[in-house]
Amino acid sequence: MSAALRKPTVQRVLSVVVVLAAWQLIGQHFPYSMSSPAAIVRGAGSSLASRVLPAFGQTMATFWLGFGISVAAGVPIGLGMARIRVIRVALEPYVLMLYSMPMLATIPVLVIVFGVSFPLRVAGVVLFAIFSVIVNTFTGACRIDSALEDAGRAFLASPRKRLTAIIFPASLPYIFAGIRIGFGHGLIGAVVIEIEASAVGMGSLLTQFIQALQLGRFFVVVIVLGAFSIVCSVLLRAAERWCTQPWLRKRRAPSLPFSLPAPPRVPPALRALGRAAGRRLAAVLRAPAGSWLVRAAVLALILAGWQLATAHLSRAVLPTPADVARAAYQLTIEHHTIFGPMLNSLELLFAGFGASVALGIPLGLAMGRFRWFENVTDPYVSFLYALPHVVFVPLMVVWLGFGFAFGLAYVTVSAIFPVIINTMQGVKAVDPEYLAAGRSFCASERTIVRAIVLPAATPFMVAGARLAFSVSWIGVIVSEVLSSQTGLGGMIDTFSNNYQTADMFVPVLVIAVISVAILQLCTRYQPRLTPWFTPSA
Amino acid sequence: MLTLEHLCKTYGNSGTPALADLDLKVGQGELVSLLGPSGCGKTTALRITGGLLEPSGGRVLVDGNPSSGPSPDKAMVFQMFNLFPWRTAEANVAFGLEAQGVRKRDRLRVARQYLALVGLADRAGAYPAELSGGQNQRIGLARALAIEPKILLMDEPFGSLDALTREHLQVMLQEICVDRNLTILFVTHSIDEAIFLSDRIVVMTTPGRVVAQYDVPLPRPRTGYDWRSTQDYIELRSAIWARLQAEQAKEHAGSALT
Repeated sequence: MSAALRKPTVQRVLSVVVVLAAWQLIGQHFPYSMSSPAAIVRGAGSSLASRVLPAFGQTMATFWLGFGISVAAGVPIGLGMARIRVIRVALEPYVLMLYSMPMLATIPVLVIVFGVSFPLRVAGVVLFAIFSVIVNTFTGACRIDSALEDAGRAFLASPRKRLTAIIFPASLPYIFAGIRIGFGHGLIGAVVIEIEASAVGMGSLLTQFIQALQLGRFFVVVIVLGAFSIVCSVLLRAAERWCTQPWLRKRRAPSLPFSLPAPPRVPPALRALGRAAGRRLAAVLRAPAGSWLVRAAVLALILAGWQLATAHLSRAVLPTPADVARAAYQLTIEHHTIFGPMLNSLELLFAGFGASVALGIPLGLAMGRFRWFENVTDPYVSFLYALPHVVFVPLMVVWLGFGFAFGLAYVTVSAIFPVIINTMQGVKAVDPEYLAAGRSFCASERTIVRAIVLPAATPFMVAGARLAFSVSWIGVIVSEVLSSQTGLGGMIDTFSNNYQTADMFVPVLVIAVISVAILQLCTRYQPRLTPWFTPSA
Repeated sequence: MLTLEHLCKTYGNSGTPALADLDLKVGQGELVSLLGPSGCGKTTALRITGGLLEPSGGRVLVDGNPSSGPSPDKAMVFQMFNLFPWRTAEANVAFGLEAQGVRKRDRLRVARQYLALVGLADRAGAYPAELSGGQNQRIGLARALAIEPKILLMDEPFGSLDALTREHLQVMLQEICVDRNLTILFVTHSIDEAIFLSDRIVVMTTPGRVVAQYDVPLPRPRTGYDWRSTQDYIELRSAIWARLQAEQAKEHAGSALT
């Protein structure tokens, strides 16, 4: 009996059976807030073919087009940023801001510009997905060992040859990581736009079923989306292995703290230009003042383009930069109206982040250290992690209403998985040689956990917490925009409903500023938590 | 002092043993080297002795008592140092005492003594990533010495260092350990290193057998004279070299036949 219990498959199956049974019992008692597995099967029978699958088709059309555009454009942009200094200097501030920003905050703006339409939904998916592709590609291409490229140069490879034969393959692991993250974000984007601003696709079905209190059908939609993202993540991993397995023998460099690498001192692509103009441009760019000049020029270009665009559109659709500046002045300095909502948002951010770290680290430690615990919990953690968690928003609203509890629950659900998964990976990735050294000095299990496993896993935990911090901020804004009650997200929603477009840009900008501040804080202070961890070593 | 009796080890279900019936006695204060090509089972033998691996057969005796599993009278020095990167030099050296429950102030005092012994008193607060390979292995040595073991088990400790650092550390090891009358089992694949350090050299070959043993007649300490130009050294080196060549040729012939 106990020998059978020790088998991983037995543990997994038992755990699923127990959970399904408990769910069935609870679901029978609360049919309007929980639904039971039996009701879900009935819901699938009655609605799968007639409603869910057509909606799934609509969502897929949006998602794949947007995701395809993100990959096709994101990889070249990321490589361009890594290789060509002008592009890097010009784009970096915007890419970083948009990467760390909750994209949902821009949806009301897009709705006003594009209207509720197919192009809007595709644009939303691209916005959600493209920046992780760009940033990961860029980071990967900057991190390549310069010795590899020197080897290419020694054999007289042209810049183009070096790009295609050295830089691109060497950054593939990072590019794939970016594509995987972009896939998840893009799917969230597709669903969230449908929830927020359309009457088609899976997102709107979720809302419809909840409003009709058809929870069985609601869960059918959730399960279809979950199955889709699990199948796709398996396929993506297979593709990644197929591309990189032959030469990446051991485990890949853990997808550790993403931090921006120092740029190559002399941009090779520019040097290859070898023309006087190129050289002068390179000289200008190398000076800090030159970089700022280019940045200022890019900013001026953007503002000018914006101003020109407003000439053809109504003020209610797109305000001029001056309108936005005036609105910002009024909301901050004249009426102080923005600070209350801002504090609400920050409060929710810290509460949700704290909850996800406090719950996620112990769970992740247990999952990494105890085999049986991992086997028992892994099915749910993988499923929930793969799922675009916005699908639970309508259900959470039924459970918790539109208050702080809803925000807290949503932020925690969205931020806890990076913490759990990173902690678990960190515990599992402890070099067995360290454990051998510990054992050879007769260290007890407690000493080994405290003095070896915990510190060895700390960089992973910090990376997870840091990811959770950014994700929490996104969760805060998403929950506020969707519940349209409090905070900066609620402000956006209110202004957008009243067509106060100039005012609407102000909280969006504040959100962007806070996002960048969060990213900078993390980048600066993360190394201090793990002083021994030098990425170069 | 240290006795290995009929040690056998087979990994997993593979038919070929990594270690086949190894017998070895190391006397009090003796430095014995296990010398052989890579893959001949010398590291396996050392890890079983240190208690990090379970033997498939046979046993390890310390002072006549069976000793399975790690114990405070045996300390290991690892090939890749295995220092904890999140601990400073001092905290690394103190680790063994910490595992034994020695109070913080006491163990840090001892750690500083041993850091001074290996010449790193001034780098006590540095992390391993900030130090060179040679310095790191000195810390590894200090960490092993700090628990005051009777037996030191060294697994190609200088294998990953450059030639000059290596020679420097060999001299240091000789001065520190041989004077303290420590019993040492030393794994290496360098004939010169084995001759310079050892009282006795055990030549091993694949799969995990002892093929020959040689006593090293060079007088100690071996630092005051040019030991490489002595007749004893030249004869011993060529004898060991010829033996290893012959074993390799036999193995090649064997693999050509099968």
